[in-house]
Amino acid sequence: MVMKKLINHPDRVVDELIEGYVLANPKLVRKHPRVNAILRVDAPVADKVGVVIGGGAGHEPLFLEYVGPGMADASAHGQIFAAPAPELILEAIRAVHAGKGVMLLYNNYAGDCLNFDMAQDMAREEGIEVETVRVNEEIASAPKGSEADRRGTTADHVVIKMAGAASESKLPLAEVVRITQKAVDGSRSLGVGLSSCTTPATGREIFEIGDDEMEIGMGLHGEPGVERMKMLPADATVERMIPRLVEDLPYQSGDEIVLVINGYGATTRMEMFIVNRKIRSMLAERKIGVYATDIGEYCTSQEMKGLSITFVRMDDELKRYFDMPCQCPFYVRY
Amino acid sequence: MQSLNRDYWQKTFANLATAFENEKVALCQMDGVIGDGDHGASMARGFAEALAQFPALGDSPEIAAMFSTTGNAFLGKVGGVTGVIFGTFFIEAGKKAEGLPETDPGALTAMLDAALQAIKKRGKVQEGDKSMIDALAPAVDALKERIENGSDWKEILEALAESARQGSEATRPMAAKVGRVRYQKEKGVGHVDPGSVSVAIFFRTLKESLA
Repeated sequence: MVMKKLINHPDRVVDELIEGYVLANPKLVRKHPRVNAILRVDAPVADKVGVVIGGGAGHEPLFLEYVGPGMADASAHGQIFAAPAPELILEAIRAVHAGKGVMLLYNNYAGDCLNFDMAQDMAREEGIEVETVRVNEEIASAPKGSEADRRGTTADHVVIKMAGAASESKLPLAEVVRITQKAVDGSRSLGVGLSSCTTPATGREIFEIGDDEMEIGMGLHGEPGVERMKMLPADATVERMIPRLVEDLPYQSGDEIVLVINGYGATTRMEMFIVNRKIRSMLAERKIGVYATDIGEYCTSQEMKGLSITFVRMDDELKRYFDMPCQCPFYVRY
Repeated sequence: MQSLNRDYWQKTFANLATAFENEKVALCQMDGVIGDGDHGASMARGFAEALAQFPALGDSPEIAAMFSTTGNAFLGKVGGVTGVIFGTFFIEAGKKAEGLPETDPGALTAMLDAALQAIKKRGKVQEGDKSMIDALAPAVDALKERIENGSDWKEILEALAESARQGSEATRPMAAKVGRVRYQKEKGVGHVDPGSVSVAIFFRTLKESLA
């Protein structure tokens, strides 16, 4: 597949997408004057723990569009699919620090861990209190028992919401960390990829998959999954995914979850709704309750076809933070 | 015995920028097989950014300043795994070069050893994990061995370049324990680690810059 995108030059993709985003949302966000970080217009917010998210670009709306009241205070952007540099993250930390400390929240990839860890060390040397929560809910990326090796993906959508609400409640840093970590610990995701995507960095497809094939557990960057097979109908696909998700944590009878169905970039809402009804019937059979459902594009991979399913286990405390208002351009709760 | 003075290092950093520009595409293709395909571009960008900042250091910059400027260019302008790992390499090596008008074999050992230890700690990586460490660690060992034997710079740098090259080649059959490639079914077996190739290019350039 030849790359077919409305871009100007590969080296300018990230700068230009950030510029265009900020122009569209001037009341909500501004760009850091020197680096590719998006900040809340009112950052730093007094008496509030700063929440800094970030990662490679190319997954929009993640991370770019998750900055706003009740969500993150800043997002630090790397190049396409590449982690942001430590200095960039450090600038984001400084920009949102209001004296109450800063929490770094990002996905558990080697490049992100290295760069955010280094930024954390640098900020601590400046006397800023910084803690880290890594999202690692994708079950195909490493077996049970090796959770520390797992990648983070769409759980970000709910986890960032929790972190934003907890920090907006003016809780101390340790509490914001505890609540965010609880949301991560109760999260599990599994995806199915139907087609590859092309990346502006190289202009090429990032992996190969047959026209009649699908792969369960495929990663956002084409990382191999757990099972490649001939295309199946929606219900049969969901039947292969839900047991893996339920059994991994495990989610038990009586549990309540937030359900997220995430399109990878070229998936129709039609397909997502069809998938949702099968997920709901399978959850009902297992007496797992659905507290809320979000269906849309949250964590994409360019024009990749396919979707991911995320469960986030809720308790009374997490429900409270999930229900608090938040505002970012594509996602509002009130 | 020829010394590795400021002139040598100035020439070497310029040669490194050229070498990595020349190897950029090959390194990216290597990385494309087992990583995210950015390694060659990242290395070339790091050295080019560093070289652009050298004029601000004056006509005859301090060795430590050249290393720290290069390290900061990698840290600030590159991103990804490459930016942090090679940024750490140059920053930690540079700290051990502080105030030195030239790097004698003992100083070079201290610089490389400090860089090696810092990368192992930062990257949480060990020998045999299939990383740039697998080229760097044998090079440091070769350096120590050559010093004990009283070798001259030519012999030392040849030994460094050769041991790094062999160390890089030795990553080919390894199953990766770090980085994105560990998620692949084959864990990179059959492919050399691109970071280790960059270490080999680094030491090869040191050797060639002596002439």
